[in-house]
Amino acid sequence: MKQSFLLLVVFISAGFSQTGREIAVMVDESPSPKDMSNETTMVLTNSKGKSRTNKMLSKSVDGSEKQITWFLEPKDDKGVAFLKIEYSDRDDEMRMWLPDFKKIRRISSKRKGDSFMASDLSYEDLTSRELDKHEYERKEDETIDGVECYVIEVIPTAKAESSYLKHKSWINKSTLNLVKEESFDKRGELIKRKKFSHKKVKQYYVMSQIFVENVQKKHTTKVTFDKVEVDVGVKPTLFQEKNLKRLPR
Amino acid sequence: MFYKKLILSIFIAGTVKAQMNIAGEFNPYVMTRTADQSQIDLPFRLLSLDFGFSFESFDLKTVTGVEQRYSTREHSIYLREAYVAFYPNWGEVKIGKQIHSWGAADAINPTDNINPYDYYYMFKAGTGKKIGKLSLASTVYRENFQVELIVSPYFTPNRIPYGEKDFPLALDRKPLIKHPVKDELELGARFQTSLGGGDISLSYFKGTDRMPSVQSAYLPITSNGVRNFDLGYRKTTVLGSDFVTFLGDFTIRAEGALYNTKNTSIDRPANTSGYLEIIQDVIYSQYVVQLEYTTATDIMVSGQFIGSKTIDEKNQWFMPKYPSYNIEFPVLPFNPGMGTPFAMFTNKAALISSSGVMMDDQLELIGSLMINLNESGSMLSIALGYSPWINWKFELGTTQFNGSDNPLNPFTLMQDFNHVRMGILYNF
Repeated sequence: MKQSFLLLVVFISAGFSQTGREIAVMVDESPSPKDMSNETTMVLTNSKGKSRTNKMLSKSVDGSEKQITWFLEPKDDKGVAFLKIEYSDRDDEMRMWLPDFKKIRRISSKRKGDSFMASDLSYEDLTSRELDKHEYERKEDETIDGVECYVIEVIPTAKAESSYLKHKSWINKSTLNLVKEESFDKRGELIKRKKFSHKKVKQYYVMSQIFVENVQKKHTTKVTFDKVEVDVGVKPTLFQEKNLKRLPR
Repeated sequence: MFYKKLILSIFIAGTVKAQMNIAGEFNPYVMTRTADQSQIDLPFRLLSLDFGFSFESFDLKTVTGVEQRYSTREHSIYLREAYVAFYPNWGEVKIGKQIHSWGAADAINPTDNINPYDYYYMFKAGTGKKIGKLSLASTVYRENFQVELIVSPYFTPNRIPYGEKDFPLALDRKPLIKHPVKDELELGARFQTSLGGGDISLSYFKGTDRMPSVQSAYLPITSNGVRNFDLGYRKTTVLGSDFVTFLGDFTIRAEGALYNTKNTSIDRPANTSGYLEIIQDVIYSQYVVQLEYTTATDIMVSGQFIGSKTIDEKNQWFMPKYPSYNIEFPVLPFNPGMGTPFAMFTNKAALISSSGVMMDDQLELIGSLMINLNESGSMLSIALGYSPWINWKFELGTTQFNGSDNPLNPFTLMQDFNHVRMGILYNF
């Protein structure tokens, strides 16, 4: 009886005192599709309210560790394509097909802070965060738009080679999806506010929209994912240079 | 008749299921000479139309250009590319008139010799300055390497402006090619692999020079001092290598090629009295080292060091009629018949360029400065593109050459080409 009580105390206290890292592990281990494809619309809006729309087609596997993106609009970018392959033991591989030059250009994955297609999302924002390259600190739970959230502070270590000092992330307690995030630059000043929406496709909660506000530039980017398909059997061979050169059928 | 119907049926069946792709750009512009505000009268590409079909693993691609000249209102329509591409699991196969691109550096690529250049468009970025070439190309992709093979059955020379008073480096008239190319087959191979966080490639090309050179001559020198030189094309073998690697926040791209050019056997005239041939065997190199950096505000700055060097040169005139005679006859300065067009300006230069977009991609600024490191000379180019509406861009740019007192300095010669360029670009 005494033993059972002790176990109960341990169990209850564990349930209420998960560390930031444990929450991050839970998020990392939550079910995610093997592969995903979608049509992406990216609307960039400047401080004067003027907007510009980009459309893309994207396919990814292993939680976006391998991703290929073809640009459809605007017309002068049509045909440009981007391939990203993440590695845990070496630098990621990033290549861009430039049809006007008929060249695949290897680009640096070290400058993760560079903007992706002039948007408020950087290459780092599009890259999965490796658990062991970050430290996590749990903050007081909060409720965002009626959704109970864990709040954790994510601090990139030197190994992450991040362009950020830290992130504050709000995670939906029931679905373990990221609801909101604030990112801070190296000086510790808030640079980006991100809001995420998800929808259920098959048994997964997949991202349907990201809204990013660069508070320093007073510039926003809204990314909407349409025609989301998961576990459709995207072949690993898709993530080869040759497939950058033509849009998928 | 049956076969025609069959081919037509296959074509219709294919096109019904196929996805049609149409894209292009409409780009009228004017160039005004800085010196006297007169209009520079050269043909320019008014329209470029990409049209094609994609069906299963096949693509049919065509690129058509419409070239216009304001003064004569003449225009010509020509097929820049027309090829079929097949994408099996292991790679790609392309056959037809096409443009290839080799090399890791930007704009100046000593290893990129498959296609001839169109000198009317030598300042144009991308493949716009190249001429499509009938060829069969195949690339095999493997996990960590790729191999590309290109075979081209026909020789195509560079397109050089002739008799163009508005292009200072133009020749007065089209030179007569006395010795046509006999063996036109050209071969290229390129191997690329990833190494130490970067890419490295090795390439080989064997083909005919894109620019003519002296092959034979007649004695004596004519009364007005003009020598009767006969032109033909040398054969050149190119061994090249390029790599891209990353050092901190910098990207390094480098490329070099070693050329060995030789005269080929030519048809001799029936009467070889006073007829001379030159035996030429020259080894030269061209190289470019590029250092690239992108600022926090997404402005890309790149510096290039460009060079070319004649490593070994053997020239010997001989008289087929008296082969044992040692002939002393002047040898013209060596001019490479292949390689980057910028080698005609200088054999050592630094190029600093920068590009950036602002105002949500609405405003694009591109600037470049080439400094001749051998002799006084520079080329400054600044371009501004403003896109108030999607797919439309207003372009304003200037190119300014600055030479020396030497009237033969190419930069001095090009000073008359200093101009301001205004245009509209519409992408569809």
